[in-house]
Amino acid sequence: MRASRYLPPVAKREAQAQESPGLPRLPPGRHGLPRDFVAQNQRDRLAAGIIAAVSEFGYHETTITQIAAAAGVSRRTFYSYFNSKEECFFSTFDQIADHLCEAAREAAAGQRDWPSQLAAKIGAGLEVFSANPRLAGFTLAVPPRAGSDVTAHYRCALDRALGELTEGAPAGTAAQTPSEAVQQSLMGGAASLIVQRLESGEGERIGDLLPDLVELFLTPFVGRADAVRVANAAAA
Amino acid sequence: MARLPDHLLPAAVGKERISKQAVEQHQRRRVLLASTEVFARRGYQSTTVDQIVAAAQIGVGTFYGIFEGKEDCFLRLYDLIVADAEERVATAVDAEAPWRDRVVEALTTLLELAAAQPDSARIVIVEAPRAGRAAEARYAETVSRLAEGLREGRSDAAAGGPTASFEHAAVAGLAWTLHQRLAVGRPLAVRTLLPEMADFLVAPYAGAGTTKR
Repeated sequence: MRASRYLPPVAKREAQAQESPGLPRLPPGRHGLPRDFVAQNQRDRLAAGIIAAVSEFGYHETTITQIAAAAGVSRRTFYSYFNSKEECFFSTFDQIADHLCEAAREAAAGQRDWPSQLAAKIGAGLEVFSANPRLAGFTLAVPPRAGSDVTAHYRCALDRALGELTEGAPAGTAAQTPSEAVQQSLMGGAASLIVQRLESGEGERIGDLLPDLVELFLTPFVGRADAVRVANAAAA
Repeated sequence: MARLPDHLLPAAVGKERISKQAVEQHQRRRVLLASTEVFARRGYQSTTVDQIVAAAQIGVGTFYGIFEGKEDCFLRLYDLIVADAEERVATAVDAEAPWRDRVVEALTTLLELAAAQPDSARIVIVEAPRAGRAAEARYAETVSRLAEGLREGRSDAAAGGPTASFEHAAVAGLAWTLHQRLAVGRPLAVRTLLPEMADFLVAPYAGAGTTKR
């Protein structure tokens, strides 16, 4: 940051904020922003804070002090939004899940058949994850290793994601509709592949998994030949 | 769970002197068996040495004479369960049989074992990934060993195989399906699961050409 001393104050603050895991800080002092906006902003920063803290220390070891520090707020502020680490975790996790669903729906809107919609949805999810590997770890790698409540929350979320991905899937056309167990395996297998990439330090290259995931997912639904065709098209 | 080694049985009922080593080995196994239920019911994080000691009906001192602590006990339990499962698979699977049959036979053995011993299955599939780094590493190794076995199907598949990442996804996916059931105490319906999962594992190796990207 050689040039930082020449930057005007606001830009400098933003530059600092870029280095910290949190979102940009609000200017200090009396800024006349509505209270709601401040609340939203602090909430967002706590979300970014817990993602940063958990990715550094692991779920069990993360303390509220560390979350607050990473968010750049006081412990008191933390407790004005959440009663516990779990609550902050769930809120952040759900926010990410909502965002992923929205991104997936948007991406699928322009596709005419279900296999292409599925490929577009998977692509959108991977794009979110590869843009922010820490968020990917927070969403997919942390919950199975955390306590039972968190893992239970994660199980529901994967089921929800499965519902989102299979919405509009042909019921018993080319191949038969795969069973619940097989569909769960698809979800668990896909998540595990993403985590594997993250942990081998290839977080930025999560997007490369697109054709593999499309083929994995589609094979039980439409048969291997069609699955390979759509996967190749998605890779192109 | 496998039965006690034969050399322990006559000594336990007879009057021959039992070696110190044999006693320790026997005691270790007894504690591990008792700890299975504790770990499975309470979860690794919430389990304490006191609870294991109470379940095994031994003193705390005896526990620490056998194990370094809770984690050591859990890791040895993990190894015991996995070794037992491996032995059963090795016995059930005919090494000369075609790959497809071997996969189905191994899957049958593992699913039946998990259904018969849900606590042990829970230790391996649900608890190990969240029982610290060493346990997590062991779990990862188990997954990759199973994936390796599945990968043999590539040499079998005349028309090529699925994507390079398939084996890991398939094994991790199967584990996740079992996790979903074991974590909430839902019984494993082996009869339904078996044909579905067998097809999921082997179908991608049959025909339709190699995926090359």
